[in-house]
Amino acid sequence: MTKFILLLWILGKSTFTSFAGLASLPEIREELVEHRRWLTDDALNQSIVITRTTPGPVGVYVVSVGYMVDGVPGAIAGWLALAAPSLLVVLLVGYFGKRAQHPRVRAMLQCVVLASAALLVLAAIPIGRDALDGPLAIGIAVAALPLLVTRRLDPVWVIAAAAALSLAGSLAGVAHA
Amino acid sequence: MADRSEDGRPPRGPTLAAIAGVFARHANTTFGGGSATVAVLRQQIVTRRGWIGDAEFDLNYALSRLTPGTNLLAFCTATGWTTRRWRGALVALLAASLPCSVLAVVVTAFYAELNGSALFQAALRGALAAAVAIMVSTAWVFAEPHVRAAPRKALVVVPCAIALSLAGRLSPVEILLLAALAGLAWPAVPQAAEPS
Repeated sequence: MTKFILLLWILGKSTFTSFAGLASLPEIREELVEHRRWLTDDALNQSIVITRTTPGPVGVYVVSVGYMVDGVPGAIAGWLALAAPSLLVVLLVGYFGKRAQHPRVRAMLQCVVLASAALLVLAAIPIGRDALDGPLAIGIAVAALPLLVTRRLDPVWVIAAAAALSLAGSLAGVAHA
Repeated sequence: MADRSEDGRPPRGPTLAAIAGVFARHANTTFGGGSATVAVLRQQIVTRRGWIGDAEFDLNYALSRLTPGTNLLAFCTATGWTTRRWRGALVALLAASLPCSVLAVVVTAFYAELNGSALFQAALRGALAAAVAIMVSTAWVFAEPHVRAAPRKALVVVPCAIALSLAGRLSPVEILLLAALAGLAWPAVPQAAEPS
């Protein structure tokens, strides 16, 4: 029980003070790998790889970390740390929602969305370096882009088709690299 | 859980079951992280179902980027709150976070076996290639209405955000906070000149 509470405190402190999925990583590493030695660097890296191999937000890595440290109770601590900060958004939406028509609030939202879009393109670059590792993967990305931009196809179907194509390519011996 | 709004009136938005269904299905099945998932959710809740409009989507998306923790879950919570207040927020948060958390535990437990499967790795590579395209297209889909409506803001904010990020001295949330401040301080112009 003590370990559960301590783990919940460590993971929660990290998620409540970070603003993106993996931004909590340095503090979690400091506490769990360096300070308490409940986890190794390899295990921590593995938890990040796992979130890349599963759908959903990359922040789910804290659930994987919790499970590695303390089994199912640790995973529950990880989930609580993952989910709880999101409730704070209600305060923001409640406050700004009533003022959404104010020109300055509208200008603020426009600027945040524009900056987010710019950061999103930059965030795609390292993922692209890893994922676009051969002609088949590059072909999939290039073919998917116009379908997505023109909103002709639901992204879920694009992902399913891409996975199926890649699998078929692998079975047929089409090299990725 | 009674499917009624907090003031006792019949619900006007989607049912809690519908919220749970959409977020459980679409927030837990998309590879590529939160941004790719938000693109999928946008199609479902704005375009297809009309639960919220473009302005509410922008509000929820922008504020979720400024909320601690995982942006995707904050977005889902905000959208749940917009449609059905606290009950909607809690249902959306649970639906968006529980299935992928359970899946993460299962994959963690069986990681060695999955990591060694060539077929799993091949399918995953394809899904991640699509995720790259989804991230780039999402950036355009989100930005396009604002680029058209407020081109001057786009010309200033986008290059500045890229430059600040590449300089590496500011975290993404610091860059977004600067963007928010820039928006608040932006000189007001007549709507006809720069409609939003």
